[in-house]
Amino acid sequence: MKSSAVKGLGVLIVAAAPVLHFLVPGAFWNRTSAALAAGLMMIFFSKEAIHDERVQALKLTAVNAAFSVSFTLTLIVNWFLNRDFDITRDFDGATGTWRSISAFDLIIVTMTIALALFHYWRLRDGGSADHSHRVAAEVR
Amino acid sequence: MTNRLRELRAARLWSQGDLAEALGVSRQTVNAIETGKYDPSLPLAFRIARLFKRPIEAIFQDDER
Repeated sequence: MKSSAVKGLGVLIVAAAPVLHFLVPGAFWNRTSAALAAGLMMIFFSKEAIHDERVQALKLTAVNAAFSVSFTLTLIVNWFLNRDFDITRDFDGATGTWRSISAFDLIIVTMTIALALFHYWRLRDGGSADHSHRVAAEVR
Repeated sequence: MTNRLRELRAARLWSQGDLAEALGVSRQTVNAIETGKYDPSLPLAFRIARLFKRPIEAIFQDDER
């Protein structure tokens, strides 16, 4: 499948998943978040129109930064869900004593931050209009 | 790392898009290299050197020397 098609499918999934979630009564968030996570990953990891080394470097840096931020956010959100860092508490969900956001939620946050960073940095790379002729005059 | 890419490109009256096309990269990447935001890989630096028919050290200078 062409990378543009993968990206398009990702955009479609990301757009449709929240709409379906609110349209279908009793929709389960974990299913929606799985679809959202998959869609965002398809957008982020599919190749760009010109997938050169700068794009690869920016994507790697973006995902590195995004994962650090989203993991920290997960710890903060989990603290609010549980209100403590008591290490004696059981992680077993069956006891209902400790709650955490799902892996899908973590991926959604990570991919959203990574996409935002990547496109912001790419926008900054673009610079202003190409002044080649003005520069040529300056060189002369 | 500093480079003379902008100067060499402009001397040939090439746009960033022209240079990007010749190198097989995007215009944004050419701009990032010219403005010093990004140091190209060795293979890309060699492609640039071959395109301008100059040795790499005539285009890229190491500031730490």
